[in-house]
Amino acid sequence: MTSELLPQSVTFHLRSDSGVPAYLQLVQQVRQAVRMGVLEIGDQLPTVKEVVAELAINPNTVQKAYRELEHEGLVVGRQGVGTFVARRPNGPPPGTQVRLARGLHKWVQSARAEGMDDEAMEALLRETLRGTTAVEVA
Amino acid sequence: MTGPSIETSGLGKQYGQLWALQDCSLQVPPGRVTALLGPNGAGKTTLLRLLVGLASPSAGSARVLGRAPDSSEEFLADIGYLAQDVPLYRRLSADDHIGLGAHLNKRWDAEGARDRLSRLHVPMDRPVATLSGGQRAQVALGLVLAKRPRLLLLDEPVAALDPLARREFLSALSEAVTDGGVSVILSSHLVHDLERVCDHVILMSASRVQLCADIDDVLASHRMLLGPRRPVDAVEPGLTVISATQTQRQTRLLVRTAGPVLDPSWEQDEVGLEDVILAYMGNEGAGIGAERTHRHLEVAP
Amino acid sequence: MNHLVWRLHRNQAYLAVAALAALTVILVITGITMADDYRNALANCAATQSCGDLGGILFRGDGAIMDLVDFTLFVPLLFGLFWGAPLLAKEFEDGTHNLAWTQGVSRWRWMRANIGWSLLAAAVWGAALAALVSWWRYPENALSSRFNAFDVQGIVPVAYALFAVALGIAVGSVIRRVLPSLAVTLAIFVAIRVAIGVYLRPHYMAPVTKVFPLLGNDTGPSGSWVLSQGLVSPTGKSLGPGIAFSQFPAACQAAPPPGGGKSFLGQCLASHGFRQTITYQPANRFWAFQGLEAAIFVVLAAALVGFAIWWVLGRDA
Repeated sequence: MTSELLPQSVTFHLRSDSGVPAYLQLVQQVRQAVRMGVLEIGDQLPTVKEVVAELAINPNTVQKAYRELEHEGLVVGRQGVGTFVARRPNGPPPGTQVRLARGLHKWVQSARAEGMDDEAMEALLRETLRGTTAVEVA
Repeated sequence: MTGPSIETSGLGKQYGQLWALQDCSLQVPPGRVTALLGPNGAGKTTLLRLLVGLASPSAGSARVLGRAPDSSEEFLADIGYLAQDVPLYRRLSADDHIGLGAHLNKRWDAEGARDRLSRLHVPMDRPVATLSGGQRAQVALGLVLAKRPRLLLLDEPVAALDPLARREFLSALSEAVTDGGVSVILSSHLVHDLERVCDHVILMSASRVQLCADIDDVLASHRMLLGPRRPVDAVEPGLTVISATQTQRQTRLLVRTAGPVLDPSWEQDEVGLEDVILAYMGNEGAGIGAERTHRHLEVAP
Repeated sequence: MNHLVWRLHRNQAYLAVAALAALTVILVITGITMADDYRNALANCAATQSCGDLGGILFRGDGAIMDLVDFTLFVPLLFGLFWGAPLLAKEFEDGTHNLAWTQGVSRWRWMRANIGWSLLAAAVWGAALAALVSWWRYPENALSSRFNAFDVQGIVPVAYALFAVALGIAVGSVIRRVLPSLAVTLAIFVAIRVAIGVYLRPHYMAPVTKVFPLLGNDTGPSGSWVLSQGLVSPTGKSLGPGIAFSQFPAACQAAPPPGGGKSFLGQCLASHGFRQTITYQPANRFWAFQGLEAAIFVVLAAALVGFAIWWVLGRDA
């Protein structure tokens, strides 16, 4: 068993085959950490150097991720000090989350009753997400 | 530094009758970590040796950090070269090497080198011949970083290393890049490792350069197209076909494009770096600017 | 650069010092003994009328030491093989030239330091050894001739050492592998030494030819290098060295009387008027010959060093 103790607050992981660019994966992982409460407002994100050392990636990738988070307003970078969590990511309040979950649960059940399998449902969801985003842009 | 870190013009190298490198014209912007990719025998080592000044050109010219490579002490102080097979003095220890480096180099960060190696638990006082391949690579990397060069040239530094040693080496390298001020070019015949560390790529095949660009640009400008079978020549202008596969019913193309692909009959997808590399490597002997290889897969009805 | 040279060749240097020290101890001890024996024999020989025969009497049992001194003939070659040939060949073979030549030191400075120290070490060791052997051979030289051990005393050992190291370096720079470089250096060194020592050396100066009596006190030039000998007939005709026994006077062809011994033929021929002719290089030419041969090898060494530098600097690494 290998065990590593790192000095920074959170740890990252990259999936090289996921089709999602590396910097975006980091953005998503920071957002998730804040959502889950692992990172709270005011906490410091790992320094560029710490991330680079853990993942063996180009520092520009980390810079890009942190810039994106800063652009969204989720973090704020303080020159010479570090990058800190500024606010939680957007999302529905807990009550709405529960209501939406129930709605989805019902839809899944009826789709299964009609003979749709999980794979078809996932493909349909992906296409719908893509399709609706394009509509919003247009 | 504002000019390109590396710039070559028609660079070529001949050994006897064989051209190990020909017609090499490229530019690498400063501050990049460049992956020099290509199969064995493509000319990667030859290019690196020409850039470092250990070999002289048979044709064309090269400028590294704004000057022609030579054996002068000013030039040598600015570059760090790690040759294939990690050359070290076998009977000397890591400590010995660091000590000697201080006498041979004006700029020398011995403390940083010792720090880095002890953090990695590399034994400092045993002859380096008794260290593992990964540890020797770390020692050699430490020596080359201690010079505080402006350009690092590494020839297949991770080729003989196990996955853990490879990861540690690339980690140490990217940490050093984070400190800033250094451009890197490292060669490999494996794409996978370098994709994360590098932000620029030079692809070589059959002693020519096929591609030289920022990786982000490469990924943004190449697409995989899948659609009903049609002649390859009949694609819209502005698309450069890099590789094509034809079956009875379908045509699949890997293309380079300046703007969005407008033809709605194509199903489009992004391409990973490895697939782009493979597509270019299928164009053996062609060089940048030549486009097509066609594969016809006849599928029985 | 000096630190690098020292650190890489440190152990070899220690070994060489130890070897030289051991050799010094042996030669000093035996040399003092030999010198004492010689002086005593000189003091006492007049009484026994054996002064002319001392060469045949003294130092009969010292075969092992004599062999050791003869062995010093090979020391210059050892320098060439251990210090010269691997200098460049090992760097190329191990690939460490890729490391050494991309530090902050130019290739020229690297060559200069390595070649310079090797030649200096060879010269110093060669000179120390030559001085030691020359001193040790004082009695032998007095009894026979300095020319008998031309190669191991005087100044030529230094020149041989410089030549061997330079040759090793040049060969190593071209072949770039240690073992083949050793073999080629050995072969060329021996060939050149033999060619010059055996075929060229007798002709540095025109030899002297003189006629000497067969017996008596003045039967030949002392301390000289005899190149050839022959008989001269009573009529003054020079007979070749391969004279047939049948050409001697009848009286001398007879078997020697019992107890007549080794000088019967000589005394017989001498009494019939035969003499001997000797072609030789006189003793006083020893240092001139040393100087000429040393100069030849030093010039060769310089040419080889120049070649090695030109070859390495002008080529890809």
